[in-house]
Amino acid sequence: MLLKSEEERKFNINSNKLKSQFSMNETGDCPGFAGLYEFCQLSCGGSIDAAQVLLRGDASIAVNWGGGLHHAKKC
Amino acid sequence: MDVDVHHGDGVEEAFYLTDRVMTVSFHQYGDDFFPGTGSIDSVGEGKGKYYSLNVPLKVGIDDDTYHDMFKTIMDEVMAKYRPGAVILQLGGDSIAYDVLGRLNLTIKGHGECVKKMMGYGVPLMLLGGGGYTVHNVARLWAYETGLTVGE
Repeated sequence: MLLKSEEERKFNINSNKLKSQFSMNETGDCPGFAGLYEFCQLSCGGSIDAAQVLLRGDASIAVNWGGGLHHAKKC
Repeated sequence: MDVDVHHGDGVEEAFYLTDRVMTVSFHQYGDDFFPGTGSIDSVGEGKGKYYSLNVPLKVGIDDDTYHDMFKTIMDEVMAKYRPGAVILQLGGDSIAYDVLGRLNLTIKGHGECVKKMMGYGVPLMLLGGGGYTVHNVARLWAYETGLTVGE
């Protein structure tokens, strides 16, 4: 039988707490999925990039349909 | 500027105390609708007082009623605040038949927000956001992308 280290046990307890706090589960509002971190980088990075394009004056309109998701938060 | 059906509470909080950014959110409000904030009297605090604007809406609002308010309010905001750029969050959950939102805008009515904001001639960033009846969201954002290139 493989015993979990104390650190690993604590990590699991913490991550379960976070999951329920932010309704991160299969059925809730915010399902976790493979590549979630990269998705957040792209969503957020796209908006930052759009801002830079506008600031440089390269365009008068910039669009990032993958951004704008975290206008609301509640916690 | 946030036309998603939910109150833009995250963005509002980030700029609630400052006049460097003005936030305006149009959203469904009442009956514990998520996130529950965004009443008409949340207007900012300290230096940010009157630089956060909220337009809480009842369910079922249609294009005409929405734009009566949208145009009046945005004309006033743009004239008084005169921003150097506008970020427009275009959550697709404020159109009819959304799974979560209960407003009754059409795709054209939602797109009217884009047309109106393009008319002020300031640099404009369009962002996505919510939208839970996904095939309608795809139609909406395709239409609005068209608007930006004059189609």
